[in-house]
Amino acid sequence: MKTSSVYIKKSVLNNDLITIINDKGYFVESNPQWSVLLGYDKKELLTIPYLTLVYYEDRSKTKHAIESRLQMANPRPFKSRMVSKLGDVIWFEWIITKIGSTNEFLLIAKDITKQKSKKSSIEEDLIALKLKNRQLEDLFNLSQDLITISNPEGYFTKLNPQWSKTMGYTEKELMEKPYLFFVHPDDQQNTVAEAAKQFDGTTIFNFRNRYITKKGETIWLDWNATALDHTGEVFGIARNITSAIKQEQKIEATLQELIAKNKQLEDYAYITSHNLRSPVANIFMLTKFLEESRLTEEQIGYTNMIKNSAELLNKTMKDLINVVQINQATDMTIQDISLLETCEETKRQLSAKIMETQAKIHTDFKIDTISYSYAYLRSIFLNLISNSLKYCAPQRKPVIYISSKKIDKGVQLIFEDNGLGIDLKKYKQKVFGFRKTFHTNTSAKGLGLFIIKSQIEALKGTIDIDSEPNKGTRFTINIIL
Amino acid sequence: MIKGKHILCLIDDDNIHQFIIKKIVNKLSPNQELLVFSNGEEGINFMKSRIGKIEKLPDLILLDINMPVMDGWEFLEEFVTITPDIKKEIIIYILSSSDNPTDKEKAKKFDLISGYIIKPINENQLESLLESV
Repeated sequence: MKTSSVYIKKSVLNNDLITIINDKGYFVESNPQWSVLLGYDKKELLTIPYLTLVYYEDRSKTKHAIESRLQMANPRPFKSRMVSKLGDVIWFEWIITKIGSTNEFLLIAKDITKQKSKKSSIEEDLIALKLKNRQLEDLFNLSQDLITISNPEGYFTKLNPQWSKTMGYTEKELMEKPYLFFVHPDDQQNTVAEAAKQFDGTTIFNFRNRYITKKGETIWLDWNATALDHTGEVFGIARNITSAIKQEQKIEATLQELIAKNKQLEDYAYITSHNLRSPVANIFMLTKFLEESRLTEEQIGYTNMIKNSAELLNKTMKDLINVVQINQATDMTIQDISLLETCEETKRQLSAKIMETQAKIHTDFKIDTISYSYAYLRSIFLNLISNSLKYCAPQRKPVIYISSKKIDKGVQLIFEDNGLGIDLKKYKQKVFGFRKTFHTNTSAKGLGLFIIKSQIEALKGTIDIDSEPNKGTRFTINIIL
Repeated sequence: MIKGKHILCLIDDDNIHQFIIKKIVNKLSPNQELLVFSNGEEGINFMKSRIGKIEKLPDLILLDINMPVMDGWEFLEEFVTITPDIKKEIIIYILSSSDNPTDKEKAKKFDLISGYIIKPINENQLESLLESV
């Protein structure tokens, strides 16, 4: 021990790091070079295990190397990195010499960083290449896509692990048989045709075929493939799109179901109307006969009630059919239409009622031409204007303002009147409902708003109502263009 | 006014409707001859059995669409095949409670249909029909 200390002190000017490490792994003595190279002062060095100075990746290796060398007669030097206080990683060549019979040892560490960096450029290139290779390999192995190389004989020659994961076969099993064996029978012909194209050097994009997994499940693959060169090898990348396809199929099935349901409902409406109309028509006629026969006053009363009920029933059915027909048969062709012209046409159509009520209709179309269904637009104007005329306040002449302006995604159309209004606190939920009426007006059928709402919504628009009883009503329609 | 010498024919499976038509016809013209059949087959069999006897064939047929055994459309298809032999101009009106546009469209395809009346038919309509014969 003493001799060692002397040795170290003598070596003040030595470029190597020299120290004695005790059996607990702590520094006993060290030369000043430690502070020069690693930036720790002597005191600090005495308080930390030597291993903490070793670069973390090299720690267990170093520990191991030292332990084994302590058992050897002529231990060879080894290489390991240490980290300076500032975080620099430095390569050292370590020479271990056992001191006495304890586990203490003398450590001489030569700074070989320069030597290491002087390594030939060939070696560096090789390392870079290895790294690149490893990256590619990782990409190949970790990819969620199915990557393959196949030969002109129709066999897979290289497969990434995703293949086994997806198909349930081992890599060996997948390579033993021609890949066509794993293709869905209905897609084999297409696949052969597609593969043939590659011999012409065509790159295949988005070719879709089905494979059968070991469990017998069908999976959908979306392929991009390129023939390598004259060797006829093909590089292919396939994406498993089974869940997307299943989703698509589900949507398609739901759509078909909906169409069928809709048709069923329509038929149902017609059948109901027909089957109901026959007896209603009969009741009509029979009550008519009843009226013409000799009746007591009481019987006349009943007859009238039966007649009224039959009439109501008949009207309900007609309205029901109307709704079905409007939603069915209306021309939904989108065309450029002038709001002003549509308004004028509607006014002409309602001229009698306008004269009768002495209504004033003002328009302010900041946007005049819109692309819309002509039939729907006419329906909107007709229903809203005639509503305003129908439900005008008795003590004042109806005034209707119709305006349009540009909004974010289309056009806003506003119909405003000074009529009876609707008590929205009571009726907000029902305003656009089927056969909902809010006035004791006999001509109210409760159809207009129901119909235009369904028309506007069919074209992805919205309709909203603001109203105050006895002040007026405002409809705001957002048309998406 | 209505003369009784024309023959009116109703093909309809609804008993009550048959009764109603009988009653109105009787009121409009008490001596009017009215043939009533409960479905297309009964009607067409009658027509076939009267081929060559013009005076025994109806002048006006009121035809329902939805009927058991043979419906109105089937009756019309059969009727078309025997028209060359009938040698009489027979006016046919559809008298149905079906408001289905498909039915109305279909009716237009038959040249021998003069019109489509939706039930209930009232006295005035029936009267003008009889007068048109």
